[in-house]
Amino acid sequence: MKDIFKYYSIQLIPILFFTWTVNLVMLFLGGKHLSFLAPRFEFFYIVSFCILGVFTVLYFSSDQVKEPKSYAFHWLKGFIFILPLVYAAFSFDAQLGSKAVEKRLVREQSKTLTVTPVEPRKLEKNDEGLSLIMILDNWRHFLGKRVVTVGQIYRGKDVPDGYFMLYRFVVSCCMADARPVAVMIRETEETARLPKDNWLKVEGVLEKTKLNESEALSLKLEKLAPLSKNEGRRYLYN
Amino acid sequence: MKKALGFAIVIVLLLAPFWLFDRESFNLFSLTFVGIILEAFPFMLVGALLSGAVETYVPPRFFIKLLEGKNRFLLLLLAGLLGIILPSCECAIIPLVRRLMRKGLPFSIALAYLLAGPIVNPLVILSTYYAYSFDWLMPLWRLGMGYGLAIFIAGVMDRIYPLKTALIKELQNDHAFIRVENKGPVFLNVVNQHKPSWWHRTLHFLKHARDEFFEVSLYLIVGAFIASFIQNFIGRQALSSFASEPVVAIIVMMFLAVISNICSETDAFVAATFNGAGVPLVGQLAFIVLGPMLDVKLFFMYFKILKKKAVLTLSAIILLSVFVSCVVASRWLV
Repeated sequence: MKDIFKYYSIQLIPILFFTWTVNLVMLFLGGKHLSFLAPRFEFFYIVSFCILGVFTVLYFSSDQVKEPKSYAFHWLKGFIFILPLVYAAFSFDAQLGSKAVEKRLVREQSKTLTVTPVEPRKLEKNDEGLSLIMILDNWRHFLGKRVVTVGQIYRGKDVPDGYFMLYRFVVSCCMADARPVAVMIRETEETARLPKDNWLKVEGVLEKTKLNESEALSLKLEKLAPLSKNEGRRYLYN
Repeated sequence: MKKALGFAIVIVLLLAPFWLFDRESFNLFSLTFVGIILEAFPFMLVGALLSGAVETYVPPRFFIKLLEGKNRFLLLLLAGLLGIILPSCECAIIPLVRRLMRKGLPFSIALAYLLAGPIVNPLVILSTYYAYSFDWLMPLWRLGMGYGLAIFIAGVMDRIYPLKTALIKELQNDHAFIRVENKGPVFLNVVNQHKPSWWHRTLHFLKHARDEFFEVSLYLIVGAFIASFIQNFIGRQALSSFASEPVVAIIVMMFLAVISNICSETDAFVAATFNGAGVPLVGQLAFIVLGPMLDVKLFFMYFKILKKKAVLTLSAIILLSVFVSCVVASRWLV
């Protein structure tokens, strides 16, 4: 028994390197790595599992692994090293939702809208209209015009009564930098029935609305179509 | 018995998010935690490979010989600019700097590169320029302040901890020099006369990179874990809502920078979102200058280079100097 424990203790780190490599490849093959990273990061992700793979081969080919000085500390190190994979296994299908909006949304607080758009983006329409970030980045251009877009429902403490927010998360590299962009929409009987985080396709006119003595962008709803959960759409990227 | 108890407590704490949070909070925690790790790993792996290359191919006293008799202050100024030719983010830089120091790179010079590298870096400057609507104001402030502070902090740390007294034992002994009764440096390493084959050198390089990666990654994981945990309890809106005064904004944004653990190449995008929330530019500057120098994960990773006391001193100096410089900058940047 003692020998088995000793054997696995010595082989622990090589096994964990192997586990990391295999899991990163599996996540990649299933497209699940995009739950944590932006697609632009794919190249670096591939680099990661290639190098980890080389390190693993090195362990199992020529290397003589040393016996640890302290077994308890050695196992603790192994446990910490594998921890991200444990969490990844429980969340690779998950998505940032209302809770993340609540923690990360930073709303315009000045009396008048001061958000200056970045250089106008190339407006790329698809079946789901324009992306929310395109509309908000170019809001001066779209003010008073009819737009079609897709997003999720957020109803938090900071949303005025009678309204909900249509939000999307914008990711640059990973989920740590994901930030929500949102537009206010007046609640209707139909929207009120929909639960938070439900996906919606909306069509409406972009306008300025006075809320709590400050201005916010809102969408005057004309058409709406609830969408089934996810369908491959997750985040917006920039 | 004590060991087992300590071990059990650590495991319980590490698994706490599973039952402490509801499903939504758990997702926020887990996606952030794993995201930080997966984003940092490639850079850390490259950093570890560079570290292995330095260990294998750079002769033991290379930097000592190279820098002998050179003006220390000038070297410090140049070290702060190293990020331009060796651009890397804060995670990649740590394994590399560890190895450079083992090859005799003086502490202050290594520290200047460590602190300035993630800011004085073409990719970071460009991303800041893009995040701030193609305006050069913020990238230039970031570049100037980041560079100046890195040199200043490295100089101060060198005064407080001369030579290698701030470094952990592992970095003091190997190939490096120690002070002996004020009679100047004494070299400890004995150069191996037998030259190994290229295959053996390659294996040595890879094994070294692998071990380096494993050791440093543990600190990254613990830091990212704690940072993601804290993020579940703190809302950006709540914090920014009382950050309209410059001094308060600086403090709030510094706190956010420390807990957010965002890579220096993307943090400007997050900082810019506070623009409309009434947070003054100087608060946003504090966020993008402090983040690459000190956050929860970096705090833990510094323990792979510095002694406990030195990590605390370094953290205090970074916090204080960023705060003071931003308060001064608030005269011009509001």
